[in-house]
Amino acid sequence: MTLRLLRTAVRRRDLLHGLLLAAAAELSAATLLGVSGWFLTACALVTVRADTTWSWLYPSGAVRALALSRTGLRYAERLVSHRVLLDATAALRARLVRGAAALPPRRLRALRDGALLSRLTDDVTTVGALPADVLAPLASTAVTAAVVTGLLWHADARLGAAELLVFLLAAATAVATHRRTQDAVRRSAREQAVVRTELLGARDALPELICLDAVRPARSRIAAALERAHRADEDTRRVLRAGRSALRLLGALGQCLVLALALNLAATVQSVSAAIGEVLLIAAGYELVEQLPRILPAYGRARAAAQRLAPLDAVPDRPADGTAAAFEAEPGTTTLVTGPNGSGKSTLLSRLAGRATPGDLTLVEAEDWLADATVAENLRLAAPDAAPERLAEVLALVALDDIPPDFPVGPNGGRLSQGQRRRLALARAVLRDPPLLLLDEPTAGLDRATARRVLGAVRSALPTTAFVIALPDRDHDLLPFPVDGRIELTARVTMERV
Amino acid sequence: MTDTAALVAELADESGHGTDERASTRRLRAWARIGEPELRRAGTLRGLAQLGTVIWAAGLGWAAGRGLAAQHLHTAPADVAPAAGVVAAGLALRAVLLAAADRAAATGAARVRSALRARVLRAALPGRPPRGGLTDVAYAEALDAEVAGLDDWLTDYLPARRAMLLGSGVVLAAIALRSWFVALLLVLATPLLPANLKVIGMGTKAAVQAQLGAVRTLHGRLLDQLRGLPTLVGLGAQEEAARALRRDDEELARRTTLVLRVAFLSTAWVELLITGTLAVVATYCGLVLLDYLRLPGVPDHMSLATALFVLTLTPAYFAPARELARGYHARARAAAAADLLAGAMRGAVPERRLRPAARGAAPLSVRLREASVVHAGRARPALDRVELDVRAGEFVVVTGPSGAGKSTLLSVAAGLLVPDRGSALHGRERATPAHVAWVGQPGFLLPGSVRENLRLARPEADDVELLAAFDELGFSGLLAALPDGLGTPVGERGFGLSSGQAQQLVFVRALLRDAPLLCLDEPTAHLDPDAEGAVADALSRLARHRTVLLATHSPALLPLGDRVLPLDQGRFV
Repeated sequence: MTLRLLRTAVRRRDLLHGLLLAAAAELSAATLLGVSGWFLTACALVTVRADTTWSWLYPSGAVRALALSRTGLRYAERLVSHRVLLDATAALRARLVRGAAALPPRRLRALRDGALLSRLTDDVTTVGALPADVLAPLASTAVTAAVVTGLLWHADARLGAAELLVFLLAAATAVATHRRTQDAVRRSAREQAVVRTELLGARDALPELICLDAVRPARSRIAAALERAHRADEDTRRVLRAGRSALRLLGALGQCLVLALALNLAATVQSVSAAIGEVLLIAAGYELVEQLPRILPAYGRARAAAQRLAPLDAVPDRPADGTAAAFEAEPGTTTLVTGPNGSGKSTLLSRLAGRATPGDLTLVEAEDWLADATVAENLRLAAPDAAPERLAEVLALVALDDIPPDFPVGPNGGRLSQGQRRRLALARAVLRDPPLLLLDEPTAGLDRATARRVLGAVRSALPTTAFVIALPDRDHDLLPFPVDGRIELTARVTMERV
Repeated sequence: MTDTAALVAELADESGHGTDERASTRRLRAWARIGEPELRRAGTLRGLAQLGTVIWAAGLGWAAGRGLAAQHLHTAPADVAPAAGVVAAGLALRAVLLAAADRAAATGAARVRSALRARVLRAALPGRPPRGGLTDVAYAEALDAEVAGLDDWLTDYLPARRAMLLGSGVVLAAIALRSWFVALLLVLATPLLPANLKVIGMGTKAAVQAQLGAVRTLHGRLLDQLRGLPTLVGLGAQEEAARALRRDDEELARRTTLVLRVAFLSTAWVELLITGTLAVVATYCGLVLLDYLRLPGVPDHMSLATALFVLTLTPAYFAPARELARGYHARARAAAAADLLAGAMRGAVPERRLRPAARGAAPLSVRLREASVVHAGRARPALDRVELDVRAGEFVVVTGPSGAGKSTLLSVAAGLLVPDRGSALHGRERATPAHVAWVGQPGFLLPGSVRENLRLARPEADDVELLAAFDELGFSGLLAALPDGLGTPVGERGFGLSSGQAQQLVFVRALLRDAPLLCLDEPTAHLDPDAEGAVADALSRLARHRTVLLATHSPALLPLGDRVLPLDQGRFV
């Protein structure tokens, strides 16, 4: 799932380049140390044997070449992996923006409180960083371990087999550590969700809580959930620490095995210089293996991010949940959706909106989004080429002519009152002049006189548009024009067990 | 924050004036002091862990010496067991010390985290009514992600300086004991290490600066477009939006790459310095071992054990400095989090406890004199020199168009909001929420059982009292509809109850609170007529023996009041 999403965004060739460069860089870092150790030991060996045929020039040249290539490879690898990250982010974001655009409006709007933004920024970069943060280190660790094991196997099959075993054990330890943290990670996430829910709930109820003198109990409930999350995090860290210590000890075991097997036997075919080189190679290999407990959680995070992104990536043609709603409205008619609270008026409207292609209809929801810009700029989102006179006209239509067009509405329209926000959203919808206009409780937050005036003006400004309006029963007298059809929703059982 | 974003942030900090950066660093250091002893200990332990590396290197050298002797003499197998034991002991010591250091760092960081979380929580839910403050989501984010954003900085970066001084010192001393010449080489190489990610090549600095500016602008625009996406989709402009986004994103990637190409040169330089030093040490030791080196003043004799010892310790000498240089990621993330956190902690003032009015207290009069309130960022006052006199026990309904200032008036009358000018009095005292039972729009329930929710108003109430309160308001039907009675769970934001049922519970709670002044802000805004009828009935019962202020649009509630006051543009008309 994670990789599938990534594959859509990263060119395979770029990914391969990045992985190859990372592996080559780590391999040259490991061999630099190994060759240096081997070189020193060989020098000593040559001196005590008085071997005059051995030339020091090539090995010491190799050391310098490795030093240079490690630097160059690292530089290239970092550039390539960041380039892959940036490209993947851009491609992924473009794909998901299209996916988000195809979501039913209600679901899209349900995401608007920062959720969509954090998915398209944080989650996208988390998935995009997967090659650099996870795949490259994994590949370089695997390649280094494989090459080192291969070299040892070539020198002495028993030694190779023993080291392979220890490497496999280390890999298994890393994976097991990761698995063991999963439960605590889930527990922590659950508690964090509780904290969030309770905090948002308490913030909404703050005047009531202050008057009840119940802020402290509310706070201590949240603090208790925080404490539970904290304990879960501690559990995760404890497991990770144990895992890293185990990996370090396995590294010690690997090195001692080389020393014992390669040096301790009279029958050994290996020279002491090869044995020392091998120990240093193993040491370098385990330096990479030690990092595995850090890398695997990054994979877990990327997977979680990819799961959150999945709804944006796979958009069904119609909302999969619930029964389909079919509806026909003649141009210029008005249909009223009625029913008591909780009978599903809003749900019906969003189902209708979800079935149509955007452009055929406009849905004005109870709390519509406003850009953090001026009134005029908000209107121009609907009609980019509208003349200032036209803007003034629609503003007058919704009784907002007391607000200057260059008035900045603030984040989420915060500088306007609820009723003003609703009327501005309505004005925007009027500029669209859609064939079908869905209005969800357009009168909430408006006093009755204004509501009547605005609804009448909007209806007469859009003579050919079919209106579908959801209104609570008591507000029906606010419609100053005849209603052509009614959809009566009967009350469903509103009490459900949580 | 990704690695790339962190790098760009770090470069921007270095090339900019850095005043913000200094402020956030100051803040971070002050917070870190909460966990200082543990973080210090973590640094010490990490530095001491290099002792393990020294022992390991000595064991390795010893093993090589023994192997060499055995191979040279072609005698019995080399007995490397003791040497291998030293190698293993060194690595084990390192593992133990590092684990202890990690534990100390985690404890210190946890201490800082809980202190900061407590402060954010106090600011998010102040015991006194807040003025201004952040959005609800910002507080939730601060509690969770922002505080966690300090983790790497606390556990890795902060102890790193101490670990470097101690660790590199230990390694250098060990090397100097065996070969003063190699130690000298290392000391000479040290000043060449750049302290941070300074962009090398002053000629490119201006170009990098320009690119960084463009990167910031593009990033801001990108975020803005993403925020507006749902609207753009609703308006049918999604194709243009997607294309514009892609264009900006690719331009951002291109410019960021240009910046990084230069930035990575400095890390490459660090790499080159370390590997180059290693190559020089290896060559020097090799030539000495071969007995080829004859230079005046340079030692020309060395055992294999010594040579291997100094060679393997050379990377260990540089390792802590490299860790420190890599800390830009932790630093940039923490600096970003620190700014947001500081905002989220503003307003976390020490608070006095409200002393709730005694139950059954006599109704209070409410007086507003010349009360004015201007909300931040607005030119027109929400309340404009309002005069209000409500007699004790009177029921006053405030009505008016949306945005007229009804909610603000109620908040001031309840003592939740201190007016910018003028005064608000309950009887002869200053207005205080301690006298008030509040019913908001929509009425609000915390997750938990119905019983827990009601007991918020009166913690000592038993079930008999709670049931009596239902009866008193005529809500016996509601109680019968709850599947588990008082034990019925209420989910997030009252989920599981209809809005009418939720509002009825809030009324029961207000009754239990039994305060002399009752303030209701649009209590029926989301109710259908049946539910509204039930609430209106209960309201008239609640109003007995209390002063009531009710803000509403609903025609059904207007007749309940003794007086109806129309409000418009922050003034009574």
